[in-house]
Amino acid sequence: MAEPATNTRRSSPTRDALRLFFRNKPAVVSLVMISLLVLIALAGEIFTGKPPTPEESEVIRQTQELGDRVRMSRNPRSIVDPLKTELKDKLERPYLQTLAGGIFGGFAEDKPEFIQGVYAENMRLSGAPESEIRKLSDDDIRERRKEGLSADGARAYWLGTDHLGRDVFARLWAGTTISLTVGLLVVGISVLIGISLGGIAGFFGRSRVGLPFLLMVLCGLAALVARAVDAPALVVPLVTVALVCLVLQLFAAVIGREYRAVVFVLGVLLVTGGVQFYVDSVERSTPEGRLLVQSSRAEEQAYQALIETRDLGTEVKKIENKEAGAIGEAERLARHYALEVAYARLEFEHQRFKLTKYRSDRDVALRLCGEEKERGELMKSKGRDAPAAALLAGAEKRRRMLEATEEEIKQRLSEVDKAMDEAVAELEKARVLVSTDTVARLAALREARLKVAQAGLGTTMLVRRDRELEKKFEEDFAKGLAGSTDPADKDRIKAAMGRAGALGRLLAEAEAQADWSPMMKEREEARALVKAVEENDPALLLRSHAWLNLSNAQDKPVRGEVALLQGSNAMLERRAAMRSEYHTTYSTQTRNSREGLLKAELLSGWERYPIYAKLRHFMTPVMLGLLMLVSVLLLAGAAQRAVGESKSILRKVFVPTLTVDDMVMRFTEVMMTIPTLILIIAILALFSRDVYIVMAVLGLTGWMGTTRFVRAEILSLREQDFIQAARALGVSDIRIIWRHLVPNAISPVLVSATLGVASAILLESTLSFLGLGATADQPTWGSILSEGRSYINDAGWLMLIPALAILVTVLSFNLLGEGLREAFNPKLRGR
Amino acid sequence: MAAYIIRRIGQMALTLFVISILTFVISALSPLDPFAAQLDPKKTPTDLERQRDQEGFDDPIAAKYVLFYKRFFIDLGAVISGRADHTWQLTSLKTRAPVLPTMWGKMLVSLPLFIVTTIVVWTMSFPVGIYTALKRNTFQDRLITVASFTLIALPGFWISMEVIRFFTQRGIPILSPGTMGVDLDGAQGFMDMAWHMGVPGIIGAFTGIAILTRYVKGSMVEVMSQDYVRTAKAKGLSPEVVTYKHALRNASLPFVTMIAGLLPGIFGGSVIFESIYNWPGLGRWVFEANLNKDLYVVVTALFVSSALTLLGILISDILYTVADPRVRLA
Repeated sequence: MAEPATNTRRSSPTRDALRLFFRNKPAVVSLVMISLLVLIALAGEIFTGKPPTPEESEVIRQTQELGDRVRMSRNPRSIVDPLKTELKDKLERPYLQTLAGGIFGGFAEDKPEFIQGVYAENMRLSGAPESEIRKLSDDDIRERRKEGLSADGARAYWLGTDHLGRDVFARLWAGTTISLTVGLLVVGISVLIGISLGGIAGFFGRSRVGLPFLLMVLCGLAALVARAVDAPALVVPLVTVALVCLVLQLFAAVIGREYRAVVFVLGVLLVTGGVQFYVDSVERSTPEGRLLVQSSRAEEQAYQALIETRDLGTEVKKIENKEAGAIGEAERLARHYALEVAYARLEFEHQRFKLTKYRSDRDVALRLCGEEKERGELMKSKGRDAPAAALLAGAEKRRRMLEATEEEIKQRLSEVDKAMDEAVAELEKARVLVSTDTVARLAALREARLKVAQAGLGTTMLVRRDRELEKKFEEDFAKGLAGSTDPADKDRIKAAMGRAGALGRLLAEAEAQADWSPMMKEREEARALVKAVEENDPALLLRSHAWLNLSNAQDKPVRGEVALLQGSNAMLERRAAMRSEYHTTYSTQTRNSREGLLKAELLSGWERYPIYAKLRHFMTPVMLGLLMLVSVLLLAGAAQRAVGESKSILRKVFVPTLTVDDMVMRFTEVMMTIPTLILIIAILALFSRDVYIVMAVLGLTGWMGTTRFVRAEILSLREQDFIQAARALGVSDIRIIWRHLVPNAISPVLVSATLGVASAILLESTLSFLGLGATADQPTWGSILSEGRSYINDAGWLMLIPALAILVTVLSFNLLGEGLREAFNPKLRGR
Repeated sequence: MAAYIIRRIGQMALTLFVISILTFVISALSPLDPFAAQLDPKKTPTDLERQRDQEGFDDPIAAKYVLFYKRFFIDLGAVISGRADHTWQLTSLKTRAPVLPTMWGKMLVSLPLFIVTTIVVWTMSFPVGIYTALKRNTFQDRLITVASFTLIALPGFWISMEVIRFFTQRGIPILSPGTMGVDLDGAQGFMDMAWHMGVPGIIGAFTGIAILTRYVKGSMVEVMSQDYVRTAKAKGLSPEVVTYKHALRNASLPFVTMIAGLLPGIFGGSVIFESIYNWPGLGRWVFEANLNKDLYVVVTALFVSSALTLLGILISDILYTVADPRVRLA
């Protein structure tokens, strides 16, 4: 060694390890390589992305001048744009390849023979004699190559372009950022989970958890199951038992002066509650949030309606099976009628949902007006009077228009609500009627109620008439919204104007059709009819008999047969129609709006609640759940210890059951047994494509190895003398963990984390290749590779370049990990 | 021994039960409708609706779970008892083909490829691993180490695509056995299969070779530094005897466990290569089922491969006691 003196004097395990590490040439080279990659990735964060157009830059400049915050979906510092398509430049070959004279396999038209051939052919065509065709010199060839390159005015792409003319260099650069982030975060998540669970299993493994803990966990799980299987009656008692158990444990821990665990648990509960409260309050106080809640509820209710028809169908089938050919006409009618009502209900749900959406759109428009007003006042204060006045006036006018629509929407909503209530009531009545087998009553009622329903549907029809308008309105709005993700105020104003106009027209339309009264009257009449029948009015009963006789005029046995076929078939047909309705309107609509809202792209208003969007991220519950798990496990241990030392009556309750180690390790075993790749693919099939979801899934399915060896490491460490000594000195558990266990156990974690990054990057690219990874606007290495596979014969670089990037990165991480392993492994040290 | 095995099987059953719940819930959470994915123009919406009723599509998840496993075990019983006239209960939601027989057929297709890959991996990595262990810290060792890391880092799908391009540009067909709809059987079928197996078998083995080589090396290095090896050397035994009789036999003990652990690899390990090489085997089947939200196929695959994994672990534990007299089962 070059500096033996200093090294021997101050020798520590870490120092030795580092020295050993720096002797390992490949590992050091890899470290340098990785540092470089990280730098490139960080630079990519700054310099890649969609640059703003000149117009947009101007808007950004103006807004910033006015002191407003601007949401940057564009990157003003961008020097390369990975998403920009130039179809005229598609499959442009890498400029580097041309410069290097075809190292990557080369192109026919780059080769000297080819150029020579073209030259000779051209000369011949132009009629030059054979003697004038000379052999081109190297300089000539180079010159001609350059000419060929610039002939169609293409700019030089260093690494070529792909099938859409996107710059591969830009995509590779942006991909470096994404792929490295994914690799590092995957490992971050899995190491976090692994260390927590492994640490608990290793350090507290031998302690047994008490009965209350087990009861709490089991009841909690059972409550979840009960909710999933639609047994809400069971949920409350189960949750109560779980809560009682929790309180019992907290109580025991307090008695045993284990305050730390109590504080931890309460803190986690508080944080969870706080997050939930904040999310709820934001959702309640913003129109977007209200829409989100409303749409989820509407979807749920619509699905309930669908399920209801299924139950009806089952009932019908039961009756059919009971006595073939002898279905009571009344029963059949009642059921069909109930189905009609259920369908109407679905229709109403849809209307209500639409109206709510209206309202929330209106709220948004109002808020935009408010913003405009603020902006106008700001401009006024800056001395730009003329445009400010125009802006203010416009905003005020629009506000008034929008506010005028409020009543209209309210009225329609209540109308729909009422109609729906009626429909639901009808449903109930129809169900009751099934048991009373009075044909006449039923027929009369059916007629009467159908009228009621018709009246209700009439209302709906009126609303429906606005559909065309509504559509237009929504299109306008969508356009406006698409614009408003940019800071472009012009778009906002335009969108707001479009909305206001549409709403105004809506108002006019509604006024023109103000004669709701006939329909209402009809409804009243129908209600009277129902009442008369219910009070056994003989005249009406007679009429109903007549109606029924008329409808039964045909041959009865045949009808019975047909009814048998029709009963459940009609149900099925209806239900199929309802389902498609449900899918096309509710599911997709709500899902879209929800996704849009969560991505915080739908409405610019989200910039007011930046934390909200982060909290709504799907990783939040995962992380909170992990914290909760850890805290509850700690609490269980603390409570058990406290009770074990005391002689109170609690001892009888806190029967020691499983060991902590058993629980954690059994769960780890379960996770290890399930084949990872299939599991990952199955989970990914649940979500829309997004590389960050891939990341989370990889992290959540990759922690088992870490857990196992952290546990093993800690198990072996905790028996060693220095830990025992620390114990004897009365050092607290936390201090032992942080000062003694973690530093000693961290090196293998580091090694496996390094190797984990490599495998995560490789796995992500594999998943992208299988089409499960990144979306179209997330250029990861895997997705670039995957897109290039169709062009492998024409544009080999499309696959070669990202593949080389993956190869180099994964290799570097692997060599680094191996170097670290050798350096930190005490068994190999000194050999 | 018998008591141990019975206890282990009991534990495994419990684990498998938890796994069955977990995997079923994960797969059944999908908001998408597998029936809507059926692209059969002859099917009316009403037919689909009836089918949904039969499969309990709108049922609560617990009811679905019970329905699925009831059918699964009825079918499994039929498979085990070999009844020929059995009407299969469990059918794919998309293709309506019975799941278990299809799985068996797909496994028979995957098996040859799997065996070839495994043979390539094991025959390559042992000699190379032993060689590097003996040549520790020499130039050859470093070269092989870096080479094996490169093999691990190579994206297998990319190298496959490049190899396919290489061969197809030269007019050598290596893709999809039984191409052009020719139905080959007997010797011809075997030759066809053998021909198409070479390239995917070798490329699929790359990662395995690299990883196993490193394991073998590590194990050998550890054993070679043991006292008894030094004693054997000191006794004047020839290096061959020391290496192959004393060291290798002990160093290969950990690999006994690996053999049984290979069993479930037939499911997950082949997804990518089977997709690329158009090999109509298990991996591709499961992958496509995933894309089609074919719940029953996915859950069956997860369950069966988990069961195989557990079985593999049990077998390897038992094998270990046979191979290593020092280990006793308790």
